[in-house]
Amino acid sequence: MTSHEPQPEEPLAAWHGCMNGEDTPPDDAEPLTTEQRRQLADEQLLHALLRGRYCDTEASAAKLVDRVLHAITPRPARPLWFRLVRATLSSAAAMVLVVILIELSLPRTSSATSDYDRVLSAFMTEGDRTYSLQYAMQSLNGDAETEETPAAPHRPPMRPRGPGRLHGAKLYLRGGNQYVFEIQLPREKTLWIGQDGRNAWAVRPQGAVLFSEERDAFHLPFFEEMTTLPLIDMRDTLHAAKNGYVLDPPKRVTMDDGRGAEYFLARRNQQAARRPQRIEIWADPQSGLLYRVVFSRMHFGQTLCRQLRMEYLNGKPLPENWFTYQAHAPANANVKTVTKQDIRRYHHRRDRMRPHRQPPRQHHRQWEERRTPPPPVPDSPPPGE
Amino acid sequence: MTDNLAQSIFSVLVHENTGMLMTFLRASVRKEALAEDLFQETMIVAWKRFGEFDRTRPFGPWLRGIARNLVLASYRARKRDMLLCSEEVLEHLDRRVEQIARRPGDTWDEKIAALDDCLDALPEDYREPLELHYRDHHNTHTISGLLAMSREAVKKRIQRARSKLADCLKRKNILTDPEPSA
Repeated sequence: MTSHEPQPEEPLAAWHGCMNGEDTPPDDAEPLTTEQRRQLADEQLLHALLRGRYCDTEASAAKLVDRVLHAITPRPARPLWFRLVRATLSSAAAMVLVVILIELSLPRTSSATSDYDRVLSAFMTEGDRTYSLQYAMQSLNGDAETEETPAAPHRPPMRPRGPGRLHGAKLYLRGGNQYVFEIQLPREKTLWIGQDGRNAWAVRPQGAVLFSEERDAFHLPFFEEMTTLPLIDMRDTLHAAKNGYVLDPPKRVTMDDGRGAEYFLARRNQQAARRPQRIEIWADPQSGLLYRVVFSRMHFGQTLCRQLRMEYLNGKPLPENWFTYQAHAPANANVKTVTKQDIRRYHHRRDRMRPHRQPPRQHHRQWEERRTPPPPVPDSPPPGE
Repeated sequence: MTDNLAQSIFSVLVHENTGMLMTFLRASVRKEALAEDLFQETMIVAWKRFGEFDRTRPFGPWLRGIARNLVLASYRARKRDMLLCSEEVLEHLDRRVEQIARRPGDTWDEKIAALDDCLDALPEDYREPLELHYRDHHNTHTISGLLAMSREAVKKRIQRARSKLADCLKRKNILTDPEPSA
């Protein structure tokens, strides 16, 4: 091919990023030949087949069909008496709701705080603990979906979007300030993110180990949702539950496996706007050990709010160096130190590269209602890359 | 025909054509939400015109005809949410989808089972970013972090993976060239 001949890849390249869903279609793209248009159309079709192959389940297809059938099913007109009764009941329900809201807004000065302090101090002094993370999402119209939604039989198991990627992850805790996340990736690879009390680190399936003296350096480059994940700093979250939430008096409850537990319910007040709306805690009445923590109604994205559950698995002692990267990386691993300047540069680059996002016009109101403030760091490449 | 019977027949046809129609729409628009909206719109228009549908002809092409008009109308209104879109491209996509629809198999998934073989044959270096993108919904920023590659390299890798899959499907007589133009 001589240099005068057109490069077939070039005019198409502008459209490829668009297919990845990140770039917008080029306004001033070079005109394409018929052959190029067909080639691109084939790629678009393949892209569509892949989306269907990986994203569609029987449940999602049924949802689409149900929407259609619901829309075309004629609804009989309700008789007058029905509408009158319904209007009366709605008014009554609204009044009850107002009473409940007033009740909830009254300040609580019970012994909840002192009981909660016991849980908090136990959390700071407890030894090694292992928790599993389970995730359930609930659409804003109340249709619950969980990770157990079966995929079509011949397909690989679905991995969910957003924070659901953390479903099945493990969280290891030591004391109040050391943690390790073990997150499973496709092809049985594992991502480790941790903090040994002073330094943060991340061991990726490929590439150098990332290490930083900045405590929260690696929360986000991997998963945007970790920005607002309350588990990242449980100590901070538990403190926040005491200060930024209204605590109900604790209750004695029996858990599914018959264990007795003390149950705390914390409801968010206005100062904690970016945190979960509710935090529920089940703790051992004597030791204060956390058995289960459930974070509800966290607004991660435009359409879904989700529930994240942290469930105690065991208290087996972990190796001494478990909370350092050396326990999870090969001995000869290359380690890249990430400095404050790297992080600043990375923020700057992120801001420049972030595409301008506009809410779809027809869903604008809903979008506004569900919108959360932008996370402090998006899921761009890790600093130092 | 009573309304109930018509609705029952239509409901079966909707079930049978969901995979096919969503593939056609996803190939035409960027946003999944828009594809779903157009899916519903297409089906509702199809239901309203169901009386005009010639029962001796296949339902799929008729449905795609409605979808094509709606996609073109949508393209005029919101160009930024579309992929490459024109009468010619939609015509080409329509032919391709029809090619797949005529393959043996009772369901759309069975008709595109060859894609699974092609994915299995894809080298690991290409399959991994593809799965991270399509299955795990990671964007190229995140994948570049996970695979320790530049974002441009990730984009290129995904693009090449798609090309390799397209070649593989062509070898299996899917995405084969249409009849030569006159």
